[in-house]
Amino acid sequence: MREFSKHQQAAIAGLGITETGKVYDKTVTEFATDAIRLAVADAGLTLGDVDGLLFSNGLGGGLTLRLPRDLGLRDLRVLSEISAYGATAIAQVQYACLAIAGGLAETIVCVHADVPLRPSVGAGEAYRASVAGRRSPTGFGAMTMIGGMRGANSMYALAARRYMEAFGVTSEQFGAVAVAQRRWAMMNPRAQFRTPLTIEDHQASRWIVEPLHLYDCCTVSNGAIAIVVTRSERARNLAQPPVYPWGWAQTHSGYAMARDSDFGLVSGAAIGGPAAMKMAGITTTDVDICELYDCYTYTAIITLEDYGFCAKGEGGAFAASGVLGPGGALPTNTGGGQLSSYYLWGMTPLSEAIIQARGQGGERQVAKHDVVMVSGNGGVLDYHGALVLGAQAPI
Amino acid sequence: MSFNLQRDEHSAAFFDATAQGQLLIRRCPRCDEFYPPHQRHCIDGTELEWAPTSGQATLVTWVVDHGAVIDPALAAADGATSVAGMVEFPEGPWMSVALVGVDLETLRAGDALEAHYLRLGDESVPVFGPVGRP
Repeated sequence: MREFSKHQQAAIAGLGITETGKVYDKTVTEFATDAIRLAVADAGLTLGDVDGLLFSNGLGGGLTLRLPRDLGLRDLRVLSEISAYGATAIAQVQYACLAIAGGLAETIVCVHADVPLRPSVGAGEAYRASVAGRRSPTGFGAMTMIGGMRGANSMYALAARRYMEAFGVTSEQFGAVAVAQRRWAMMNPRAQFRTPLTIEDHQASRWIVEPLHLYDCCTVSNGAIAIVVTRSERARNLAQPPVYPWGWAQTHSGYAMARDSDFGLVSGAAIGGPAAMKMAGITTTDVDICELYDCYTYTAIITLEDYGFCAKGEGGAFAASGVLGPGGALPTNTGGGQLSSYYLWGMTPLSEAIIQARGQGGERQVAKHDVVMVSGNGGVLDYHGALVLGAQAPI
Repeated sequence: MSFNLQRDEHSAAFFDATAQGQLLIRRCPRCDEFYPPHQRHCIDGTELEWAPTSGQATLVTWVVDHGAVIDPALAAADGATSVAGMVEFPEGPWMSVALVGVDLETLRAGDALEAHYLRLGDESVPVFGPVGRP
C-alpha cells in the first residue's frame, strides 16, 4: 500500500520537443526557448504562469542564467542550472516536485538543450569537440591517451567488456537491444533513424571502440526538450492528462577503480531502482513500460538487471528473448531511445515516458501504460536517476 | 601523431622511476592503502607517498580503438592496433594503460601481464604485455 507523501503533490502537465537531429539554424538558447514555449502551450498555460525555471546544458554549454530574459519571464521564484549529466532530467523532476511541495514555486519549467552537431563534421567528432576547454594533456593524462583511450566511447567499451567477460554476454545480445528499439523507432515520427535494422546489420557495422559497434552507440542530436511541472490539482484542470511522479531516487556510485570494484558490473541503478519503486509502492511486476537511458545498448541491459527485471548477468539473454520490442512483455524504449530516436540526455527517456503515460504514442502506443519506469545515467555509470511515473494520482 | 608527453610536477618522480625500469604507485602512510600513480591524496586526506610495485599486473578489461590516433613508437610496438586496458596491480589499484603484443583472439580478463617500457619523446612510458615478452 502506497503512503501519501507531501512530496507527491506535483504532476507533469506539459511537454515540448523541438525538431531534433541535424538542425543547424538555431542557437542553444533558441532551441531552449522554443522547447519551453512548446511545453507551456502544450500544458494550456502561458509564460506568465511560470514562476520557476530549472535548466540543463549539454557538454557544449551555452545556456545561462539570462535565459528568463529571452522569454520575458519576470519575478521567478526558482531559477537554477542543474547538472548530473545524464541523470539531470530526473533530478530536475525531483527538485521541481520538492520545490512545489515546499511552496517555493507553483509552476516550474525544466529544460535541456544542446547543439553539439555542426555541418560537415561527423557526429562522434562533433560531440567530442563540443567539450569546452579540451587541451592536450600532460603527465598522467597524456599517458592514458597514448593507448588510445578517448572519452566516453572508450570508457563505456571498458565497462562493457568487463561485463561481457564476467557474465558471458555477447555482442549479438547487445544487438538485440538495438534491433528492438529500431522497431519502435520505425513507428515514431520524431525518430532520427527509422529504417529497418537487423542483428546482421549490427554485427557488420563498424567498430566505434571494440567491443562496441556503431549500432551499440546512441545518436547525437541538436535540439531541446522542456517539461512543465505544477501542483497536481492545477495539472488536473489543464490541457493534458497529468503524469504523476510516484517515486524517485538518485544514486551516485563513487566506486573506486581498484580490486573488487563494481565498475561495469553493477551500476547505481541497483540501489536507485528499488528505492524509487519502494517510494512508489510498486515492484517490477507492476511496471508496464520501461524508458531507460541507453547511451549504449549495454547501458540499457545493465539497467534492466540492476532494476530487477531479470537476474544479474541475464540481461543479454533477456533482450535476445524479444521482450523489449513491440509486442514484447516489457516494452522498453518505445520511441526508439537514444539509439534510434534522439539524444537529449535524460530528456529522451523522460519525454517518451510522458507520451506513453498520457496514451499519446500513436502507432507505437503501449496498451497498458499505467506505470512507467524511467532511468537516467551520467558519467560512466557514475550518476544515476530513477523515476516511477504513473498515469493516475499516487493515492 | 607523436604525443608530446611532457612530465609535470606531479608526475616527475614517476617518470624518473620508469626511466630506470621501475614502476611506482601511491601508498597512504597513515592507513597503508594503495592508489594508482595519478592520485594525490588518500580518502582520509593524507598526502600519498610513492611506493614501488613489481610491474606484474592482471588484466581487468580492455578495448580496441581501430580508429585511434596513436604514437608511431606505440604503433611500431603493437602493429598499429590501439589496444588499451585497465590492469590491476597486486596491491589492488587499477591503472589505465596501453597494451602491446597481446593476442586479441585469446585475451581474457584475469590474464597475467607485465610492464614494459616504451620510449616516447623524452620519457619512458609503462605499457603492458604478456609476461616474458622480450
